[in-house]
Parts: sequence; C-alpha cells; structure tokens
Amino acid sequence: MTAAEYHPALPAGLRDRVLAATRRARAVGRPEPAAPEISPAQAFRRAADAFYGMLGILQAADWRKPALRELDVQGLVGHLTGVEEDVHRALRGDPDVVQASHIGSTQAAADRQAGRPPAQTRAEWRHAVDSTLALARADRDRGDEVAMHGMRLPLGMLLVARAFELWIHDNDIRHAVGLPPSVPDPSTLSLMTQAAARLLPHAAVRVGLHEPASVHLVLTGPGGGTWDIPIGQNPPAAAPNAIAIVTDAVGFCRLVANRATPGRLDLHITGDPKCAATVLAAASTLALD
Amino acid sequence: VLAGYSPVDDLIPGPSGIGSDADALVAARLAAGDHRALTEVVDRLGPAVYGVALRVLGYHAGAQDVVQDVFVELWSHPDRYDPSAGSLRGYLTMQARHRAVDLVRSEVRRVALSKLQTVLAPQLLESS
Repeated sequence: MTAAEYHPALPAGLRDRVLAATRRARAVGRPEPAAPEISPAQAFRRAADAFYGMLGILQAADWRKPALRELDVQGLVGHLTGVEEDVHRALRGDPDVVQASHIGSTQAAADRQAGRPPAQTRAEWRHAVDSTLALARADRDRGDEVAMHGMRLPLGMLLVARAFELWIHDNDIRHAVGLPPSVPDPSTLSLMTQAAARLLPHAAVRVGLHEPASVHLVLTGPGGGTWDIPIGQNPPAAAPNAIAIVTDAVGFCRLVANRATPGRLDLHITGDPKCAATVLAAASTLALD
Repeated sequence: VLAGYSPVDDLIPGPSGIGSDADALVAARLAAGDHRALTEVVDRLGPAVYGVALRVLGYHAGAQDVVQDVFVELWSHPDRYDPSAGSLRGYLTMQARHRAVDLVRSEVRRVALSKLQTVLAPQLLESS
C-alpha cells in the first residue's frame, strides 16, 4: 500500500461538507464546555464576596503593607470604597463624576482610612458595595448608560468592570501580603473576557492604531472564547492586516489590567508582529488602576 | 517577546502516542471555539482519518460519513480528547476505526436480519 492509498486525498466537496456540519453542530466562537451564564450583578457580587473573604483572613500587620502606588493595603481598600461612592454618584446622574479622575477622585477615601481599625475599613467598603448593588437593581436596565471616570458604559458592562477591578486589587493585596494569586470562577471570567474583547477596538484607536486591522482573538481555558474583532478607523469587513492572537484567558485579563506584559504571557501570534504588539499594548491601556 | 505560532499543518505528532504541546494548544483552541483550528486539523489529519475509514469499510460513501462524524464529534466535544493520553492523530484515527467497525457490524446485522426474514417469512405465512 502506498502512502497515497493510506492517506488518500479527501474527495471533492468533503472538506466543505465536514466544515459546514461542524458549524451546524456548535456555534463558532462559543467555548465548550461553556461556563454557566450569570448576570453582571452576580459577577460583581461574587468578586466582592471573594474580596471580602480575602480581607477577613489578613493579619493586623498586613493592613499596613505597601500594596499599590503609595497606598498600603488599608488605603487600597479605601480607594475601592471611593470608587463605589463615585459609582453611586454616577448612578444618580451626578455630572461632576463624569470626567473625575479614577485615582484623584478616590484619594480622600483612601486617606481617611489612616489610623482606623481595619474592621471599620472593611465594613465601610462592604456597605459601599451593597449600596452599589441596591442602586443597580433599582429600576434600572442592564443597558442603561453610566458615565464616570472618563468612561461611558452600559450598566452591565460597568458592573463587570467593577468585578474586574476587585479581582485585580484582590491580587494586588495577595501579592503584598504573600498569599497565592486567585482566579475568578469561569462564569465571571467569561464576562470579563467578553468585556475586554468588546472594548479592544476603542483601546486600539486610543493608542493611535488607525490602520484597519482584523484581530482573531482566541482566549483559551475556562472563561475563554474566540472573537473576530475589526479595529482601526472605519475598519472594512476584510482588513488588510489580519492577525491572530492566541493566549490563555486569565493571562489576557492580567494584561488588560496592566498586571502582566506581553512578554510574560504564553502568546501565539500569526500575522504582522508589529500590529499584534500594538494591539496588545492597547489592551493594557484599558486598566484604570 | 512574541512567540511564533505554527499552524497545525506544521505539527509533528507526539512520539510514542503522547500528545505534543502543539496538540495541547490545538485542543485548547478547539475548546475556545476557534474554528480555524478545526479547519487546520481537517486539512492535516482529514486524509488519515479518511484512509482508515476507507480501509475498514471499503466504500467511499461510508468513509465520507465517518470523516464527517469524527470531526463533528471533535468540534462538539473537544474536551473528550486528552492530549496527555496520546496524539490527536492517534485519537482521530482510533475514532474513525471504531465508527467504521460499528458501521460494518450494523451492516452485517442488517443483512443477516434481511436473510432471516427471507427464510422465515414463508414459514410464518404457512403457519398462520
């Protein structure tokens, strides 16, 4: 038996028939197994519960350890309380919070934690989170737009961004006190990766990527998925620059949060490496810190 | 900084039945819903799958059905392939063999049943 007989060429039409049958069997881009769907509010609550639980196991000395920028752990929790207070203002339609700085606007809340018992800081933050959830529930649609800190996002996307920030700062504190890093559950992570993929074109334009390009983004592992994202100004359906980026979902979220560089990710790229590097750099500008 | 990425066409199946890192990456891409990964697998391993099915069945139409079934199964349930247990080539050709043998068995049963009915039908008519 010759090699050709052992591996005969596929008969004409079989390749297309097989690929069409697979598309009917499972939607392209959808992960399998898919994470159970949850709402953005559930994702935010889960991230908040995880953060609250992590704070509960800290020792008294841990609260004084440097965590981020010039903030110690207690100050960072205060920053998050300040963010929630700005969310409350945004949900009430306060125009002053629309262009407020994410860091500057929350600095007072961070500063006022100095000298307080950690339990008070933790309780104040939890109360602020519960108020966010109550305000988000009250007569609001997930698609209602909320403007704060220079962003204008649908309420659902804002809550996912809040979950994202809680997870990132959870890990900032874990790093500061020597706890192992945490990973969101697949359902929450799935909402985070969807949000990151959706915001990527805006980030690309913001860093000056004006040439039309098409990004085939594959995020592997639980919470991942596949997206074909047109970027650049007025991107045509078939952009001349077509790149594919394959990496794991958690690593990509750390990149988006500016907690990992492309060099530290297990990246697989096809297409123009310069364009891919610009897209990855753009992704990391989505972080607010 | 940015690692090169080889399409599955360039991959070499892992030695001694253990899936390679490349097979693991393909499995992860399939699980993420990357249909391009499946297209690459069909292009690279489709002829091997077809060859196995054709050798067992001996006719083209049945072998083509087996090829379709094997890749629909891979796409629908990518988690059933475990790269730590063997190569993707080995997994797919094994699936093809099993499905082709099942087809042969069901065909043998169908023919046997048909013959039995041919023999018994007159006797049943007589007895009634």
